[in-house]
Amino acid sequence: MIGGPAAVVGLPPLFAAGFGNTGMLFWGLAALVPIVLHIWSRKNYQTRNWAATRFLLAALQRHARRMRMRQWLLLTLRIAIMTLAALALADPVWQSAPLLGVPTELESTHYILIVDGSYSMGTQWQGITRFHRAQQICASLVEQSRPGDGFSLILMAEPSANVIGEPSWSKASVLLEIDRLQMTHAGAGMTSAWHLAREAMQVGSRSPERYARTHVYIITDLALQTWDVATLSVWRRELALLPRDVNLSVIDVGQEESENMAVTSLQPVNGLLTLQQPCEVLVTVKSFADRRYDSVRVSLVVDHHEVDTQFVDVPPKSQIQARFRHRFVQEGEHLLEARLPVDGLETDNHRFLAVDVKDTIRVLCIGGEPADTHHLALALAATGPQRPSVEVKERNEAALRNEDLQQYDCVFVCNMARMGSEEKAVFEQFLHRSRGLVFFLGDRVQADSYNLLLASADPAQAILPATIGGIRPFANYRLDPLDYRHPMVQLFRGQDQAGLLTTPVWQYFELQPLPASQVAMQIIAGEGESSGEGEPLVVERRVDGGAVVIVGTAASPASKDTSQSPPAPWNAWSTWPSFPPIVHSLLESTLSAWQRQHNVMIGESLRDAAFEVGSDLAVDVFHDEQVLERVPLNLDGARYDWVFGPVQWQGGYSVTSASERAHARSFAVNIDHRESEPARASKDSFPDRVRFENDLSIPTEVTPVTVGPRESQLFRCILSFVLLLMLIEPLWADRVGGRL
Amino acid sequence: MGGKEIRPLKYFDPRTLAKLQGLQLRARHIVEGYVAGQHRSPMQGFSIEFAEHRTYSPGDELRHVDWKVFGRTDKYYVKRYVDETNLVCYLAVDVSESMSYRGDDALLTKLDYAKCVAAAIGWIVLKQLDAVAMVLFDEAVREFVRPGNNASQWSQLLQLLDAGTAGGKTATGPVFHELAERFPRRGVVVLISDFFDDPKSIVAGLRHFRHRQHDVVVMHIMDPTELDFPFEQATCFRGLEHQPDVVTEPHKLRIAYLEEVDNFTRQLRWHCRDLGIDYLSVRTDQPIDQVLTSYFAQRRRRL
Repeated sequence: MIGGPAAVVGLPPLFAAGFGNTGMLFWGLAALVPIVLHIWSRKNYQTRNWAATRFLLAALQRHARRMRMRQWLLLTLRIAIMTLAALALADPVWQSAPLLGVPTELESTHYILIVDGSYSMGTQWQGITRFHRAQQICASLVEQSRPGDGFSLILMAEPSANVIGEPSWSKASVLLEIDRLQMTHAGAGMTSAWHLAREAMQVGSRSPERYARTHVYIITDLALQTWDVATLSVWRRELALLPRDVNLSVIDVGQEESENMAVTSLQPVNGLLTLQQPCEVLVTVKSFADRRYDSVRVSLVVDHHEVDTQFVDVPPKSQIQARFRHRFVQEGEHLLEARLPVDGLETDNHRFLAVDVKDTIRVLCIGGEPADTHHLALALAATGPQRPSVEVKERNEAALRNEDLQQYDCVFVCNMARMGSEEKAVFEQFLHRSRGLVFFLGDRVQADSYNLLLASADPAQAILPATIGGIRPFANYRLDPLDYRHPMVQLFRGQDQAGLLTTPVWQYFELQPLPASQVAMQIIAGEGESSGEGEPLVVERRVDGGAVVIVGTAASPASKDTSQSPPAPWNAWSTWPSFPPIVHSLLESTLSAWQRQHNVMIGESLRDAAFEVGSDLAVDVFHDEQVLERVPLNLDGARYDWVFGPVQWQGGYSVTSASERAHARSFAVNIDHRESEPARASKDSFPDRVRFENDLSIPTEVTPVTVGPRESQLFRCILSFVLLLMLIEPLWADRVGGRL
Repeated sequence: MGGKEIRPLKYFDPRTLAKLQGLQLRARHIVEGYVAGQHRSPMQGFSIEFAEHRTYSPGDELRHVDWKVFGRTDKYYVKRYVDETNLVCYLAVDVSESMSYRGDDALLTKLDYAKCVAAAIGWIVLKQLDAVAMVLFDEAVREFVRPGNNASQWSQLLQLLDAGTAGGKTATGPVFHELAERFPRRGVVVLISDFFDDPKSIVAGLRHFRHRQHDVVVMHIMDPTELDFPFEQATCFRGLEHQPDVVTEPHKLRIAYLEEVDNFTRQLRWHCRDLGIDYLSVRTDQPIDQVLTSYFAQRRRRL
């Protein structure tokens, strides 16, 4: 049984009274006006001779008492008119005891309503979602509150939102805000919500209404993702600091017997998608139920059109993968969606993926000498059934200044001696468009110029993933893939014949990774199996919209250690079997920057370089084919970009120039599937002072009434009475002999 | 006057009288206007006086039969009249301080108005060669002109009235007793006053007059403001004739005051009727000729 907003122990009073607008009571001071006029009129008189004084005296003597009584009645009448008019203006309210419990006293209470806004609240139950049920409960609590009670409203999400921070006594306003609440596609941040609740308590304690009590209601489905052990532990510590007079209630709107199935992943098998190869995607379907699902229909939707369907059997509490193949016929950005049939929780039945399909991958190889890029170009151009079509061009250093790099998807820079500010500017512009940049070092590289311009002290301004140290002595080294953790080397896992581990390397530059860099491979001296003593050899880092990889050794045997006699090459990697796969992997890894930028999670922001900058200086963001927002461009140095977010809703987004909508960029926003887990927190794990209440006693249908009929009727009654008195007053004044 | 059209009201309107200085001038205007407006002798009312009834006997003129008595008793009575060749009219004018009151909108004080009335009646009586006596009184008899009908009596009366100024308290009871004793012959006693006195005392005095078989006419002069009490603003009423001051809000006391005045006048009227005395309530804003004409007409009808 829920207690209701006023439910506490004690003797029940019959009614509660208050005012909608207390300030208007000051008009009651106008009641002093008749008194002042009465006194003033007695102080100011004229003098005249009078012959018939005997009649005057007799009248006074005989009628003084009656006259005084009439005068007092008239004065009372006038005071009553002013007082009641002020009372009516103050919007008096009068309520009988609420249905759910009764108040112990007429002091007002500050109610803080925290509504779980995580997407698990979208689970349907008996025809309505948990979130809608939570709205009904909130509305019911508001309606049953007493005049003078104040309400704060917090949406518990990631991040939580302070919908009504300063307590509002207006039921109509609170009900309106409750009705406008929207469930998010994020999880629920209990910590941030509680932080907002504490702020609301402080605001309430400072408010002029002087609330006598505070009552916090949390309406949630008790999803384990929200109420995990760590969160509860932190909360328990915070509750210890909470004043004892603050009541804390949790209303559980979840169900124990919930079951759910979700699409937890939609990933391309190949990172590089071209028109020549069919696109393969893996769809992961996960069941959270204790029963088996047979022939579950899984659909693949491309650009809002269903293109393929598979039926899968999903064992209890497990996940399966479905592989789809689709051949694109048009290059450009596309939106893919994996879809499951409707179940209790609709939100997690969808997963989205934005892909950039190219006719061919265009790569530019720049070397100090033609020999520096020759092997690399051959390796990149190597074709195969699983490899995308790659168009490679080899150029010398002058190409950086003479060619438009924007036509290339990736640029490999091999054994280039020096770096200048011009090159730096070209790289920055290139990376801003979500492209890939790979540096192979070599014997001509002057590390200082690289470090000075491309690996500056401010890591945010750096282009290189690592600073370049000295050249390590000529010796036998071997590559260490670091347990194949990095995607770049994952394809070598279990592929010993590929020769990655036996790749001969004799010389390399020492690399010192910058923050936010990832080491894909390291190099270890000697032939042993030991690891952990190595130094980074391949380091990756996201820079602006793109990705940069630096390889500490050369891409060609043309780089030689001239101290050796005869001069010995830095490595034999370019002739080794592992070279073509690793080069393609480098290409794929750098180009995956686009995919990482265009596939984000709820709570992250969409960002990209601007289109060709026109006069509009803005982009339009579309969601579900409707304009969501017009976003202005930001000017960052010489580059324009835009940021939209954090995004609140999953699905496909498209972004166009505000003036030219022919070319759209696609984005996919997905939810964190951990919230799909229907497991619930145990009520026993909650702090002791939390009182649990179920919602079964709260009416399902809540009439959104702004002001109770009894309240407005009272106002009208008083006003009618005032009008009646105003009619009586002149009649009575005429009888008494008073003036208006 | 000649063929010139006479408009009596012009002569009796207090507004006109107020513009004329001196009682003689005023009185002449009143009288001229009065005469111009009459077609029958006004003296009839005062000259023929009813004496008593006697049983009808054959030979009596039928026009003297009192048909009203016959209607009540079914018996024939004839009226007997005392035909006085020398009627005496006693004019008693109150000159107490209360008679000096004049309201904001009034043009004459009550005393001025009373003097005009007294002068007019005096002239009318003298015109029919009857005798007129005059008394000015307040708490005592101040002036007394013995009855006379010679040529100088009119001037004497006017001089007395002109000289009379308001002052002193009203004490009608003792004065009326004294006058009743001092008036030697039966006659018509016209009492002109505001009668601001104890009703019992007044009635006792009137009764004394009746006891002496005088025909008494009470002319109750009141200022309009005393009858209407129209004041709104808070006022300190300074009492005349040593009455205390009263501070009050008159609009709140109006009803009660008017009730008191009404009670008083009703009481006085009732006692007068009881004693067979003619009672006239006169406002000082009324034209005097109207007052006199209507009264004389009423008196003729009664006789």
